[in-house]
Amino acid sequence: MKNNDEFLKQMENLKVPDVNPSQHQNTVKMAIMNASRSAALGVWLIAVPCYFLLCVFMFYFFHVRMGWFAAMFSLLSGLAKIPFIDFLGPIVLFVLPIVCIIINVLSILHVQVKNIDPERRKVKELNITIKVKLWNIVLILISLAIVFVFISYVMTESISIKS
Amino acid sequence: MKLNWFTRKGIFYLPAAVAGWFIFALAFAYAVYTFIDIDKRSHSVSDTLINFVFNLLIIGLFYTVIAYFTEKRPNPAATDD
Repeated sequence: MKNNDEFLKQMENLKVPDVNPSQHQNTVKMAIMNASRSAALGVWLIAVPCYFLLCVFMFYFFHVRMGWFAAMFSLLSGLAKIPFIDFLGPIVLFVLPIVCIIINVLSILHVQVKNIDPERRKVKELNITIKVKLWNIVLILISLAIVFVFISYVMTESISIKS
Repeated sequence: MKLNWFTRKGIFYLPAAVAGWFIFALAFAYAVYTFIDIDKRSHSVSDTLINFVFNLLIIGLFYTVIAYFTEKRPNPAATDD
């Protein structure tokens, strides 16, 4: 009986650890790729498409009829006629911006799927975290614009050929 | 396998080992060769530069892709929060 009382007294005097629930929100969210490295490579990946689009916009939209801008079109159309490097045009204008989007998205995105209720395994929580890295976001937006311009150009070309 | 052939300064990769310097020299030599080759066939200075800028960007892209995979990797905890 005495032992029981002592045990109860001991249990009552036990120090309960002070847990702050807000601290558990701070988890390490590692992205798959390094943000600054991806941004550095991304700049080089979209340099050529940006240069090409700059020439297009200067020539057709701003009517700057300089030989420098017109020569870029003849250069790319000339590439399409050379047998072994005819694939270079679509790769430069479409594949490289897509690669740029992928590596920059992987460097700022963190996705986590976890069970919120241990008793119900099907109930899961999806956490998508986007790091606010300015250069990566800017590169993603520029790449999306390039891809959008290229796709719209291909679509209008195919429509005009059919009609 | 860790290769420390290049170090990154902003968006540019600088050679940091013999292999890196070899690749840099190769890219530079190819750029000079393309410049001379284009200059032979062109009719004016602007004609040379128009074609050379495109080639230079492509060479720079290939060089950067090689350097990206062979650069000295930074500590992810220290650099990329």
